[in-house]
Amino acid sequence: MATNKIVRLIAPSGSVVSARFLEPVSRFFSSGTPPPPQAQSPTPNQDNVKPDQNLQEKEEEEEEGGEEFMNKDTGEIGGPRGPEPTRYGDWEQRGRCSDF
Amino acid sequence: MAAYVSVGNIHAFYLAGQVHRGQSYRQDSWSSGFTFRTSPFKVPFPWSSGVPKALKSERCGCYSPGVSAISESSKPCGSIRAVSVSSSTKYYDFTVIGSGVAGLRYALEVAKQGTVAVITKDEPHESNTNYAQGGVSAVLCPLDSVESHMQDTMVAGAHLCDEETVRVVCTEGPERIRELIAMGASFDHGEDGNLHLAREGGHSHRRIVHAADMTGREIERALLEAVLNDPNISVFKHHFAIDLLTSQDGLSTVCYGVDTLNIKKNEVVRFLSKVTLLASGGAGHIYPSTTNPLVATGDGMAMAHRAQAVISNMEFVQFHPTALADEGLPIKPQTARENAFLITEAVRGDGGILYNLGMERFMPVYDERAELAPRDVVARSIDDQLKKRKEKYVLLDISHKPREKILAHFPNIASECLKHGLDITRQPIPVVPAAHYMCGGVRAALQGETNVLGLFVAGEVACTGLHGANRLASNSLLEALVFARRAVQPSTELMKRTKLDLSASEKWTRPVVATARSLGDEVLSKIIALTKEVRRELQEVMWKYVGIVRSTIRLNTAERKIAELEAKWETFLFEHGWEQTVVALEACEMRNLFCCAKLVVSSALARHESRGLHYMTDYPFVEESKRIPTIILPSSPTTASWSSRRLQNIRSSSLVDC
Repeated sequence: MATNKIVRLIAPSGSVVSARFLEPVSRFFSSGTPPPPQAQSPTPNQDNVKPDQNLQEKEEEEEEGGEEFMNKDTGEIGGPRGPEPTRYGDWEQRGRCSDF
Repeated sequence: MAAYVSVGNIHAFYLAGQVHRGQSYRQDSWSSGFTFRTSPFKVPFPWSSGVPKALKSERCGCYSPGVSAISESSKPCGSIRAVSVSSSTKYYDFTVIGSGVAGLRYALEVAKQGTVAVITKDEPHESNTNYAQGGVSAVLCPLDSVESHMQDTMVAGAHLCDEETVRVVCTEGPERIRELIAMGASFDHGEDGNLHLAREGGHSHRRIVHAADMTGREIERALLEAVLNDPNISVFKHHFAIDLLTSQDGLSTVCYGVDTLNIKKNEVVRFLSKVTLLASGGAGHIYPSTTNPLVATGDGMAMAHRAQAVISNMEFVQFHPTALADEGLPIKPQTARENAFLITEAVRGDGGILYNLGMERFMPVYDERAELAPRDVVARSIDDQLKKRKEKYVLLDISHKPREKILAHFPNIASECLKHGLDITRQPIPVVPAAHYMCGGVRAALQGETNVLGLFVAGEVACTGLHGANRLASNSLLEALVFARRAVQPSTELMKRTKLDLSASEKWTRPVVATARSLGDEVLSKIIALTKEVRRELQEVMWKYVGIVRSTIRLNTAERKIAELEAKWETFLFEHGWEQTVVALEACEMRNLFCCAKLVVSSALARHESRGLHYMTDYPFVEESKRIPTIILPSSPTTASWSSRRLQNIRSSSLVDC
């Protein structure tokens, strides 16, 4: 598979998680998960996908679908309007959480 | 509720690899924390190298004369053309129980090899998948890596995950997504045509593929369309699976299919097949508040347990801390909400404050981060408050923020609450934790095999070792896709070397539908009414004693109360004419709920540490020595309760020596 051959350029930023997980508990409850990320503005170009050929062709075919909302900040088509759904870690739309 | 587990049985189950008793074995419990020298998820199964004699029907030849079901090539172990000897017995090469992403994905693949029946208890789209609205995680960005996805998964899972399983899933995920796209699933993309990938909590990279806010629904739609167009797949909706058909062949338990109840026609339909895939989803309805649709009553986990399959890690139940609490709304919904409305973290992120009903802000007592503490800390804090104060919900207040901002960011919450008389710009929102996902389930090896020959599992019903003690966001759809696909090859191989004895259809006694005629009108309605009430009581016990914050005392209380409740319910049924093989939808769901509840309690009692989703006040820390899965072995057939025993008996006259 193509993705297996891709060299990883960036170390995961999740390293803070392991340290937190192993911290001694001073309070009543221990925490095993990282705190929600700071409210982040979407970074459209940072992790933009360069998919393999097949994927790209398929996406191009589908693009001609009618009037769909395009998010000016992220370039995402057909996605949710308003702030980034995952800005606080869970997946929300208009206040309702649908995945976490 | 006591189950008998003998050391002799244990060695029989795990012939290779050494097993020794773990530290938390309890004589009167179903579960024991067994440890394995090698990874428990790699334990080879005793049947893996051969096919038991029972499946090689030497005597009768493949098919009885009246039925022309031999494929054109006349291969002895060829595919069965779907056969209906009578409307009450059907034969398929493959039977799939459940029509969510795991079941449908598998069905589409095995349909290339043989005939497939997909059994689903409601409309085909009614599944947890359909309500999974976030996304699917996969490494699809060149800057991302399988190692990173693996690391995130294992950290989220509190290092209880099986590393090989995690590697396999993270590696094969991208290919499974591409296949979905090829099948017609439509995911969000950017202007440049690239897939839009989001980054969800716990992920160190953008890797969530999604379709607006309806990923599960979109995947379900695409798969269902393909399934309905496939001539080799027959979908049986409104067919409730009652119990698996199994028998012992030496040391192995072998699965031959499943008995179902056609709910619309009120009749039993028996499915015989060479291979069965259990993909029946979760068990959220053992709790009173859950995001799961009504179909999620743990049917698969219960049936598998009764069929002698090993169950694992049932103590790891994922809750969301803040679901809208209907009890706190000024105008209560007229009908009970089927699945909970979850209030996003973003409300707290934007400044929402949590109060108990005494209007005390409690979070700072539990964590210096207060409302911005991690979700599991918030969940435990809310749970603790509710138990201490004996209240039904807490309050989440955002009304101190500007009205326009609230309405702009949270219009769904605003409108939902307004419908029920609450203005969130002025009043606090009533919230309560809701059960969301079962990390545990039927123990699966790397290709979805179970310890029951011919029985495979995939999706939420399975415990594959991927989630460990806590599921990483968006990994559940991924797990379902990967394991459904991986089960195809061993299923196909088994199917090809299996001959099904069609005359064995009456080897097991048949379930009998409960009718007003057989029981009496009044009795039947009393039973149904009692069952509804008992379900509520069970859910209350589970929430009160087996919730987010647990303790040995509370779990023991739960065990006792559940046993009493089950006895009271079963006694009523059997005193009013119910019998071992009698079935009705409500009663069968109830016995499955009892079974799953007991599995959760037993597992929770066996884990003497806190890890991931399982928190014990008397064992509040993680213990490295306890970083092993919880295993529940099958209970002895002499166990009394109706929920723990398979309905069907094997007729003594049909015990033929093949």
